[in-house]
Amino acid sequence: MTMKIYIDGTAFSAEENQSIMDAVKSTGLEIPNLCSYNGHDNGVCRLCMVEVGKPPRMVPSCSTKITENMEIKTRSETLDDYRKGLITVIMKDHPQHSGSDGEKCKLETYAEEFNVEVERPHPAMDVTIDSSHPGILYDPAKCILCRKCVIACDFDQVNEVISISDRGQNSRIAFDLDVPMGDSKCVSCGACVDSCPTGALIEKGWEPADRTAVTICPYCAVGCSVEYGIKDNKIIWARGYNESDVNHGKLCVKGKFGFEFEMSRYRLTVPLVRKRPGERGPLNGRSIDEVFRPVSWDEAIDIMAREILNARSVHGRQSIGGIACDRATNEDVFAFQKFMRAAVGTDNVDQSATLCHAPSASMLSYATGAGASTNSIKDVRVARTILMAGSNVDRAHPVLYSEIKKAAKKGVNLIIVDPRKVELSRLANRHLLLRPGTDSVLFSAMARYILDNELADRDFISSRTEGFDAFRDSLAPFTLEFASRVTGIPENEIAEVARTYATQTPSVIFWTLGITEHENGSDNVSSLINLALITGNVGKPGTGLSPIRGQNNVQGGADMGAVAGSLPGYQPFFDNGVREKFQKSWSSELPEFQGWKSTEMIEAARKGMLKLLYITGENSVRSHPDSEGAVAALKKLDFLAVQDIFMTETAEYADLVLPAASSYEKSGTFTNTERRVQLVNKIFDPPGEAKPDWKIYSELAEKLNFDMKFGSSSDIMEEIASLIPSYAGISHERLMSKGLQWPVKDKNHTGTDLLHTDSFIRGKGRFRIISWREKDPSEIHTYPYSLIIGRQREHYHTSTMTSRSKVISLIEGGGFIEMNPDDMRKENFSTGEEIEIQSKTGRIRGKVKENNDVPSGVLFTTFHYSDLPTNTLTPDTYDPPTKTPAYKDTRVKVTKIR
Amino acid sequence: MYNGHKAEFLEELTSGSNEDRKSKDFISKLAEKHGLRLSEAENIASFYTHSEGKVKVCRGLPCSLKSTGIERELLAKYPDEELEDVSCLGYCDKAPVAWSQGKYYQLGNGGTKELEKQPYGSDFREVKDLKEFLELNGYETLISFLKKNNRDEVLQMVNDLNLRGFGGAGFPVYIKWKAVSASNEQKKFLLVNAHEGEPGTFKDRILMETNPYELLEASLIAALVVGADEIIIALKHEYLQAENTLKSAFEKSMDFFHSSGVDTALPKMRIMRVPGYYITGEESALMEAIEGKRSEPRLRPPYPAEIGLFGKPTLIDNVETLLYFLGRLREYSKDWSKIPGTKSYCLTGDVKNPGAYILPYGSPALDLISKKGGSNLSDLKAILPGGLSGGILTSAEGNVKLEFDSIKAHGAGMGTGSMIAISKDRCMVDVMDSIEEFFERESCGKCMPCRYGTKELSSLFENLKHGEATGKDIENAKRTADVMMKGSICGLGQASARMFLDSLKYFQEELDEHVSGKCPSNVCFQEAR
Repeated sequence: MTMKIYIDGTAFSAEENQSIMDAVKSTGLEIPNLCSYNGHDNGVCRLCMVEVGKPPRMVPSCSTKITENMEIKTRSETLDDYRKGLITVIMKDHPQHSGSDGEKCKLETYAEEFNVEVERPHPAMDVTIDSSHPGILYDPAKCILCRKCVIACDFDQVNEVISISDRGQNSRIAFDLDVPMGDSKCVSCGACVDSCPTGALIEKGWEPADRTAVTICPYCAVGCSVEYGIKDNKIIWARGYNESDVNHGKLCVKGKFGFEFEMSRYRLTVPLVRKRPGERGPLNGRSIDEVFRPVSWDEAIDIMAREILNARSVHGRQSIGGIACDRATNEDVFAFQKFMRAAVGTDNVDQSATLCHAPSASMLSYATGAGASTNSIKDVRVARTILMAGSNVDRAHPVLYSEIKKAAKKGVNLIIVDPRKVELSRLANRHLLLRPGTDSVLFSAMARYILDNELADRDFISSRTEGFDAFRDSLAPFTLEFASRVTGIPENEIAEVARTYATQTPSVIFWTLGITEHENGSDNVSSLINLALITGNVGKPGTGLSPIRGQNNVQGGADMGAVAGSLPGYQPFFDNGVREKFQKSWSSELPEFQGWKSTEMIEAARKGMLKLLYITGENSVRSHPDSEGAVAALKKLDFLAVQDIFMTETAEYADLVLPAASSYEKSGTFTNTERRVQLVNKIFDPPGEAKPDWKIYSELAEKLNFDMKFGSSSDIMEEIASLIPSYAGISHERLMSKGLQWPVKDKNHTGTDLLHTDSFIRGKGRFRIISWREKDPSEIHTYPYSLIIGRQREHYHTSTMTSRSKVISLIEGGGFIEMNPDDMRKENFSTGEEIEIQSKTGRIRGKVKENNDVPSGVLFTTFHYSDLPTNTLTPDTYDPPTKTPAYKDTRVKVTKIR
Repeated sequence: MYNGHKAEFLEELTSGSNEDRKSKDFISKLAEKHGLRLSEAENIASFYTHSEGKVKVCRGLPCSLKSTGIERELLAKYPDEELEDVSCLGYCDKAPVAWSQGKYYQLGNGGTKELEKQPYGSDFREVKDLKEFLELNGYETLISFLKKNNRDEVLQMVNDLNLRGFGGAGFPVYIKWKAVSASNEQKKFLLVNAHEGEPGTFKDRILMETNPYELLEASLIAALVVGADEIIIALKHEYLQAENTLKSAFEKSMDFFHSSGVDTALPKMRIMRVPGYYITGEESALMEAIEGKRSEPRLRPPYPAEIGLFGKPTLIDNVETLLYFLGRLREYSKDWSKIPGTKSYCLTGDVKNPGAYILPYGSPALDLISKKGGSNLSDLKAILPGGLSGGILTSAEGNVKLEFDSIKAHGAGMGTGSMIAISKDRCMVDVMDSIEEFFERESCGKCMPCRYGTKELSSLFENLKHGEATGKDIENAKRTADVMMKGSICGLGQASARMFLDSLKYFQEELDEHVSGKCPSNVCFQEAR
């Protein structure tokens, strides 16, 4: 419904039920204010008063709703006097900023605008600046207690660290129980800083920017838009971009402070060739110059082309493989697979999903026809039940986490399934602390309970699914009693959670790598999908099956076809019509064999079957399981080319190192976890001679006498749109600031926030029968602990980018093996002590730390730190259908170092 | 729903010792116990300094007028951290007073004297027990209402009566009653605002202590009329005696209700003391405090009748309003509109006989001051008709009738009907300094016009007293007062501004003389001589 209102005499039509301030804002006019925070009531500054009605009456525009035919005056003599008076009295108590940080002060800007004379010099305030946080300063003297930081921290991000302490004239901002910011539970998301109108909370060393630029965050697949301040061609600060429909102005610590890698002096800037071919190994303290020789791009391309031609003629196309980078753009990845398939002639292409969510994409595709999240992040707001499985969303996807916390605080039924206590546990109705790796048993037992108790959606099952009878029969072994024995969760809790999920609908399931990174990862995913299918929790708002993807463009990487045996858009590799379409477009024959997945390529290299590997933006040495095995495989290759922005541990093994542009240095698109294709905007030229990936592929192809026909990244998107039906309507011009969610069927289609509404993409939803195999008890006896490898909030994967940030390194600068206090006592360990961990694959040493959140019998650590190379321990045990490694459940033993 | 248990947290916190209050460890454990984040615990715990162990020294105007400067000496045996200045303890006729562990003390020249059982004054009949109350036809109106259940009729009476709230704002009672009774929500509250806080006001305490049954009956009927299923009588934190009196009266009454077979038809009743400050008497700040949050006024709309206590429709009425309602309901069968009601008034400050008095509603101020207070108008410089919130009148306006419209016509407000008399010997700058310091101390700090404005006005008078203010400072303060009148969220900021503007209206010369370094009353600049 719209209403007619008059703003300063001009008639406007405005949506009903909004505040005067918002209605006025939608006409492009901002009413002066110091405390307004989008979407939240605050109303403390009282600067936003306007006059309404006849005779005019002053009301706060932020908390007064518009009414039909309301006459609103935003300017008048009375209002001018009032605003000037209020700014004057506030300024009386406000220290004048010195130097450039005055630009950050909205109050001073208003003081100038309203011609406020600042009458007396301010006495020095008796306050101490809190500089305890590595990246943020808090100067209480500049604080006007507008409470925006409180809203930002407590209600928008729901981190609940900042509050108003004391009262009246003594009121001030406090962190936790009034401790210094750096000692508080602050997660460094920077929302308080971004909201502060006076610079009382400000980045250390903040300066005004020469210009700002908006692009997509280079980290996780939530896909936040970030506004960067740029000075002297460097990023000097970052803040959440308010116009984004994804993050609505919010960021996490990585987005806020993780941009420094772009200007790092360690960036690769020239192509490098190994001086002594064949001596492949780590630098081991030697300088890059000692081991590598800088070469021109011409020479580098020559070498690479020569090696490809050589391998192809001697060992055949099957001997060449490439791994695409999921932090690169869709355009880069599309160009990569086109280069590999059409110019080199191999289907040995993959991307990092094999190391993370391949089971999700693959099993969703099997069941529904689309290997992607069925719903959108915003569905969190309409769901009545949220099931979070194997997802440490607090650490891995903090901005999405805020949405879930908000929903939980509003009363959604929140169910957590995780072997560890996680931060979210405090907001959950139930946290099922199951034994690692037993997820599929739990979910299958829930399914059986739902069916046995007639809680299923029979109409949905009969009209929308296939294979139900066989599925139902397959559930026979999964009784509550059996599941309770295997998972360690009491029967009544399983039953209660099943009932909630089935009846308190709409219910949405989110999951992450705790589900997929197991030797039965695909079964785990399928057991979740089966639950949604029997309860009809898919295809409706607030329902859904939502794997939260990891890297910023891992969804896009698979969409673009960097998957062996799957052409762009998941089009079947061996379908003649599809092959013809691609062959015609590319004027080239496609390979006749289905290639290897990345873990299989490493395996093939070790066996001498793969001779040339082209790794782009993956630090395989640290991220693949069985690191020593991976190193051995890389050493066995005839030729290893690594393209990256840094000399990673993997690049150190390369014969040829190619310097790539980061996402700040090129244009293109990323596809986030909710299938939203968003525009990546170039902010800088690449450093030195570094180039965008797609350009490198084009030049290589040319040397191999293949014309990629790409003049720009938007050319590539045109080709993508012409070949992938779900991207058909996408072009760079259309994306702008909001992006579009695929499928986008044509140039007029506005995208799809909800998949499978009337029917599944593949027609009927398909059940998948799963089985369960107990672990070998003798292995458990020898290796009594289950090691889970996960994430910290501050770091990202192997920290190639995050470790370059001073602030992040100060916040979180070292890795630990986290252990339950009871186990610590049993093993006679104390926090900080170095211990040895051994699996059947390898052994490492690392410092142990007590953590109550880790249950007895479980260890938790990360793979962020080079001095704690935890994947040395991970065995090359894979989920059979997808070859995804079992990072989440490695059997290990621990030993005291004497 | 995740919410934590703030009310329980606050209750346990304020019943803890001073030592506990200072311990971060204690607070963090308490936070964990009640499901609160540390920041929430800090937010609440730092707002309320209450603990049973504190000694509170009253600094309200009636007490500061009577201060002899020896109060601190009298309390020297207590360590500083146990002493706390508070703004009104509600014993203004015995000023200056202090409070400790539920007991009141008068701090006079004769030393510290415990104020035990109070003589309430001849106007207030003390009803000693239920028997006496029943003999006075107590609870008859309730029982008869339960029989007739004539809700609409009673609502109509409230409307016809043009009854206005005696809590200070004088809001028409019917509008709230109608709104709450029209709500279809299952859960509704009646919140009895007994958080008396306006300096100079103590009549509600006396009314509750002398006849607790009367308030119980009035509340029960009001709740039944609007369909509230729970009554909360929220008392000022220091009103321990009133709490005990009400609780014991309620217990006895329940026995009576039970034996009369009406107990099951009655709403639930909770009688509680609520920690807080002056601002807590503001109805939305009171609800926040009961919910265990910081006692700060809410933004309006929504109004309490829509979203009130714990998010439910809530009727909020002041003690005396409900008693007045019951009084008129009892007269209902007769031709009540011709009988003027009576009202309790408080009189404090520079009068011979300070106290609480019952007069026909709308009696002239003169009657209160001279007939009851035993003083001459001519000895007074100013009268504050409504505590510190009603502005200022000069003694020339002694004929003003003590009712809302008449006082308003004189440019002031009746507020709670608590008059503070200011002697002609006093310096208005000195008095205003105390008043504006009060508002500065009691501003909750939430909205900027009030937080910054009260500070400016307070420092203006502080500076005037010391000859450090200029005429321009006064002009600037006028502009600030205008901002406070227009922009403050609640009445506190407006009251502060109004007092200042009234002091200019009547006593600008006196203020101006201070600018030029003279105090006509020879009160200020004493140190300089």
